[in-house]
Amino acid sequence: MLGKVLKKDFNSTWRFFLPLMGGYIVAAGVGKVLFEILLSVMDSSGHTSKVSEAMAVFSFFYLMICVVYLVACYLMTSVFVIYDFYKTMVSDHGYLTHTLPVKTSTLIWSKVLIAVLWQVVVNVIISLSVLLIFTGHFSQLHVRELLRLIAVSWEDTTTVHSIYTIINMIVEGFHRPLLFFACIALGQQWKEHRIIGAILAYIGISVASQILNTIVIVIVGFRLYDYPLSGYMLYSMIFNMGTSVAFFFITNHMLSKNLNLE
Amino acid sequence: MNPILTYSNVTKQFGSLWALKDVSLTIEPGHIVGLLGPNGSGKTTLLKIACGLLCPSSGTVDVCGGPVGPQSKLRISYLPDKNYLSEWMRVSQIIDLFHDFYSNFDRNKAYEMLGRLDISPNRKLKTLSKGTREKVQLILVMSRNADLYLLDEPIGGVDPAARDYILRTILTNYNEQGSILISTHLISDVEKVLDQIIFLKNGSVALQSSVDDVRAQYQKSVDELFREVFQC
Amino acid sequence: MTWHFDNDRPIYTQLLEQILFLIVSGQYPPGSKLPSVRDLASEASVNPNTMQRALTELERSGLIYSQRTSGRFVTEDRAMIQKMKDTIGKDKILTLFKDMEQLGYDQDQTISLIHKIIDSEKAGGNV
Repeated sequence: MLGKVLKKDFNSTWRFFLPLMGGYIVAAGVGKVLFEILLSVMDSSGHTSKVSEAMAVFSFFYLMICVVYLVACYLMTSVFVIYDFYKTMVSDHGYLTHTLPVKTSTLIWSKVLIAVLWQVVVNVIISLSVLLIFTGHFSQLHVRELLRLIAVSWEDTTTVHSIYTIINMIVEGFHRPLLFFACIALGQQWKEHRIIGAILAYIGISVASQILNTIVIVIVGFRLYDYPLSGYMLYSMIFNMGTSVAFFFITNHMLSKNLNLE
Repeated sequence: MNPILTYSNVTKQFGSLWALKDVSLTIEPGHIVGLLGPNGSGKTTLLKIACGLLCPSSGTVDVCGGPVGPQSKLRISYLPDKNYLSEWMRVSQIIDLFHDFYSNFDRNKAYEMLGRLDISPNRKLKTLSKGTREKVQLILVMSRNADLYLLDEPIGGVDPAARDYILRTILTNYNEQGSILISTHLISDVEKVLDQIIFLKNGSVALQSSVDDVRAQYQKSVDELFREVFQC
Repeated sequence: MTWHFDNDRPIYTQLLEQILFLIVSGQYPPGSKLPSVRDLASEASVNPNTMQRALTELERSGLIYSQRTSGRFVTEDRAMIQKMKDTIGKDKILTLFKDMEQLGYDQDQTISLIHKIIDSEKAGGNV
């Protein structure tokens, strides 16, 4: 059944992401062209015309807008994930979702996996776009210097640390959507102010985790910047894992044992 | 025969409001039952509890010998009084979706009914009128070979000419071994298709009887009796 | 034919009467096959169980009979159908007499009025 639910969720989310990412790819392509123009103008700095100056200014601002777009892509990914969950799980569309012969936990799993998928897609596309911008200019960027810097940081970096970074990214990819889902599931308990309920749940959970973290740090006395892997980093990763599991169970409980569709 | 649907002492509270008070009911297979009551009497709440869209505050619901869950959701075909389909979808995509999830969904039957109503499967839902959208939902629900059909106000939003069509669609398409529970306040329109009725008053069952027993006993239609019982 | 139901009587008895009418008036000829319960119910827009009950009652009277596999048929006993027709006809006339009585006609006056109407119809006019 998970496969069928994934298919349904994929079909209802790609419509958001396709224009967002398609637009981004086009914008990045145009950015690449303008970036080239900008560089060529700077190269021939000896005899600049008014036109090429204007062009340079335009290219610069355009690239700034691209950066804003890039940040917006990250934000919109979360927004779409939240919107889709709200729409299909607790609004009128929930009448269909929750009358499908599927376990609630399967519905939630599908939502989480689809959210992770889109986060990965967005990250990959954005990384590739940055790479595209600089393609052909690595020499100008003093690649050797850059590589040296990277190498230095790699020398300091242990395998443990890089594994940590990767695992932490994965955990974060699951943690964020599950937090949103739990908030929405808790919010639908309020009969009338579901969205306000979800926001209050979000604030409540954030404050609670802050307080919990502070208490743990004070009691255990973590040193925050131990190297290569501080106790605190390990703790916060385990904390995120633990809360992710908790969020899953909260969402599942609220949507199966306490569902209250308006 | 074992009952299809059993409510045992079901109570539902919304804050300080009692939507259902200690409701115990049994629906046997092979009947078309009218769930009748004025607005706010708890009809929709009762249906939503059987579908698993609401959880009762206390009491239990039993569908074909099991609790509400994925199994019961396969056996129940539910028509809500809401627009619950995504507007961006084409009619054919929704049919595929139902076909994917419900093993008892008859795709050919759905296309046949669409054809009879001249609804093109390629149309997007947002391009259809409200009445047509309701017909699409009814077609989806009646194309399933379910044990229990729960229809919430199936004729509420359509004109009198379409009402007859809808009632006839329900009559010709339901699974005869199954049962239908129709909630409505338009009693005179549905009275003849019912064989049993349940009066719901302020969240409690006021009467459960057969339509012809009501007529024989009171010498009046269910509609007339209803007006008397629920006189303002 | 259109099906019509009064509010003050059980639906199955009204169905029974209306099917009876279809049989004695020859719309369902002797020996012919009746539509299935489901089709009849759908045609009359009534509950199949109610239709079933009406047909069971008719079966008990002997006017229709069912063959286990092939469905329900109108009896071939024309004498029985005629008898039923006479009964219904008699009822109608008695009702007519009663109505006329309320208007102040006795039975003889009613009959002579009937003759008058027949004569004028034969003459080609509508009174």
